Amino acid sequence: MAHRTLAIKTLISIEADDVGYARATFNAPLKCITVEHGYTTDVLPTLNLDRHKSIVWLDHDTGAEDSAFRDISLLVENCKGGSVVLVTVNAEAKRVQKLIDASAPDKVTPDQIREYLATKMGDVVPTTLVEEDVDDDGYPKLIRRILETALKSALRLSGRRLEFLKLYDFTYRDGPAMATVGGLLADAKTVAKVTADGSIANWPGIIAETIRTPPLTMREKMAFDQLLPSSAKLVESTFEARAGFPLTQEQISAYVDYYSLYPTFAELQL
Amino acid sequence: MATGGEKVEPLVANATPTRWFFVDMLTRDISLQDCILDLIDNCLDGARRSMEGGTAKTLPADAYEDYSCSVTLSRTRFEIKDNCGGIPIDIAEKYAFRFGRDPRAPKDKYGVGIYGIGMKRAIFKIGNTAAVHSVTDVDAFKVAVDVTSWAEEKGLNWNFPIERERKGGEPGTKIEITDLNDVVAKELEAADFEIKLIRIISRDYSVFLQKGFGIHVNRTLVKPDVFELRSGKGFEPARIRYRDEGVDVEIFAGMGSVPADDETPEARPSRDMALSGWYVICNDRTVIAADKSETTLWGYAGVAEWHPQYNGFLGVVTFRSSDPDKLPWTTTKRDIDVTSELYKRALRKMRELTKTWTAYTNRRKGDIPAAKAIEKSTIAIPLAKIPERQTFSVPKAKKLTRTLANISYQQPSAKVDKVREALGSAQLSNREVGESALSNTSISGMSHERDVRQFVSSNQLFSSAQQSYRPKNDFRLLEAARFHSGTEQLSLCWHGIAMVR
Repeated sequence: MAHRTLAIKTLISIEADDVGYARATFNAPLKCITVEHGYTTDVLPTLNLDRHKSIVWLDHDTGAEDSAFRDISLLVENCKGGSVVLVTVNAEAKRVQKLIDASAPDKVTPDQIREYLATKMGDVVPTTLVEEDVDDDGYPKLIRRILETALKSALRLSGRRLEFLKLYDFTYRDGPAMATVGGLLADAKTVAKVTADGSIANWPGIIAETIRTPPLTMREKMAFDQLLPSSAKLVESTFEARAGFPLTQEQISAYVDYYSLYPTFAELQL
Repeated sequence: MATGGEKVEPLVANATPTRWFFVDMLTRDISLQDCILDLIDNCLDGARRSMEGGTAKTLPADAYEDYSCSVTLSRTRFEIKDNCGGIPIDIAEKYAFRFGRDPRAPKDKYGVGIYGIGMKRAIFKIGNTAAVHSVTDVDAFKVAVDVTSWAEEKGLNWNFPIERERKGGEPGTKIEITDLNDVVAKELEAADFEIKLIRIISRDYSVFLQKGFGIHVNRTLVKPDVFELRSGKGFEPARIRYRDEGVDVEIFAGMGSVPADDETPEARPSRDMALSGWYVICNDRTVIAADKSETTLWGYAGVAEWHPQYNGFLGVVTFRSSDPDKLPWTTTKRDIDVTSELYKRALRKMRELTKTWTAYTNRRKGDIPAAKAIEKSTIAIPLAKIPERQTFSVPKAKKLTRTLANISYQQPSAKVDKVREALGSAQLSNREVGESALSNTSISGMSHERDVRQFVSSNQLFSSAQQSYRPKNDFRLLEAARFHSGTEQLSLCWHGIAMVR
């Protein structure tokens, strides 16, 4: 999609796992995709990120406190001005509670979580955390705040005359909560140009509420799509009348919000 | 050469200070953070001046309860505001804005703002436009400073005009700085700068905060760090008190926390590690913190250089005097004047206490599990409650009854993290992860499929997502583990540890 929609000619995928690497290489759908074998921390410095404007998305399945945090400096120090960087991490509160005390994760206190995160990431972690920062909803928000601070802090410490314009800040949850923060690294002039007409206010990449799209079958999706777009609020009864079974209002609203972005996969027998 | 009766002007070299010296040069020797601390110091001196009995040597435990200051940081504006009595107008006229302290100026007994440079230097460092507002019980005034125009001005008139203002509100001082310097603006906007400032204030104003002084940073009320030393089971911290040429000196040293397991430079950082070292405190203000350098004799005068092995050591030396000039601090209040004889005399005592700890950490290597068990059963006591004691006592080394061998090897940290996660606790040290490879609960040493089956079925943890085993590099046993665990995803990782992916 990056190639077809955005006409990007060089695509690089980084895979650490042996099998993951082999599979990615085997499955690469285009010749312009290279798969690099190794950890992001080792591979990123070899990619000459300073030569071309890039879109770099580090889509980790681990927490913010591990390699994601270490990679942030590499990104902001090396990416050419005009690049867009994004970092996605696992932001599931339960994961970190288990890491701290596998035998009694429910008893882990906000202070313990702060201590654990601050030990690994330092002053990007707020000095006090309360229960609301570490519950299921709060923890992804906390991690997003930390990622944003980490990106800005690393950029400031790099001494580069670039600014960070936040373009992405959201939590996605179809399994464990995944937090994403990203934006444009550019000089003040470019940032001023991008933000000049105020349209940035309508930019859809910064989303306060967690994105929860319901898992749907192809037929369910089609049933939905035939009702959309709709100026009136799509309610439970309308959907049920169409599909013959109910979904919750929350599921319906979630789909309505993101229907145009909902991924479509089809299985084909060749 | 002069000839005849001509009167010749003697040659002189111009040594008049330039204003830019103060604006450009003095500000280079201090960090932004320390400038802000300098302004907080002024608030504290104001509070002491305002409170009843503020000139006394010892203040009650809640002496500062009615006093506070708040610091506001943003990209466009810096502000510090207190309720600490304000600056009397005659002090403002004669002394408060002078560069350097006038010897005739009244000294703050037990004060922390001493060099007559803090406020001006902070303003110059932070921005170009400043307004200092002061309200006292009797009057109010404002001093506005435009740094560039002031610095460009010629002539010897260095004064800042004072404008009287209408008296109103609680007595106190407010300093507002705008038109911030570019680099400063970026810092003041940054969340991590704020977090760090709060952390440093917790540590360096611990005594004041514990006595009730309130410091807010962007509306967060800063809580004090409380220093404690551990006691019991043979550990007794030192608390040495003496008076030296008009200065009360007190030295505390002991085990601040149970030493970390990992002694390598790559050891995972911990809060205890960051807090270990020597602290030097002058009139209750921390000047150096967690010092591990020559300043506190690490790597000097018979003391070994700092090494992670010494983590857990905490030493605090406090100097207190009604005459702040006698204390061994520099103008930034972030360093020690190491030429101070007073400080050198304290160092001699500090050195012996440090050596007690370094020797102990060498001995404990003989049987770390035993040492750890003792260390963990000690109890933490706040500094104020530690009894006077001339030495720092540590348990005597036990004779080892077992022969132990050291094993040391390296693995990529990502792999070690993975095993740590598999073992179920992110708190495990590298040492513990390494030990698990040889622990009794692993498949290490099993040579029959039967043993493996028994182990796999009896081990509850195996059903969790990841678990580690060590089937002796034996693929046959690995296959058996795969079979009995019902998962094909078991694979051999480093050093014979098998992991479920």
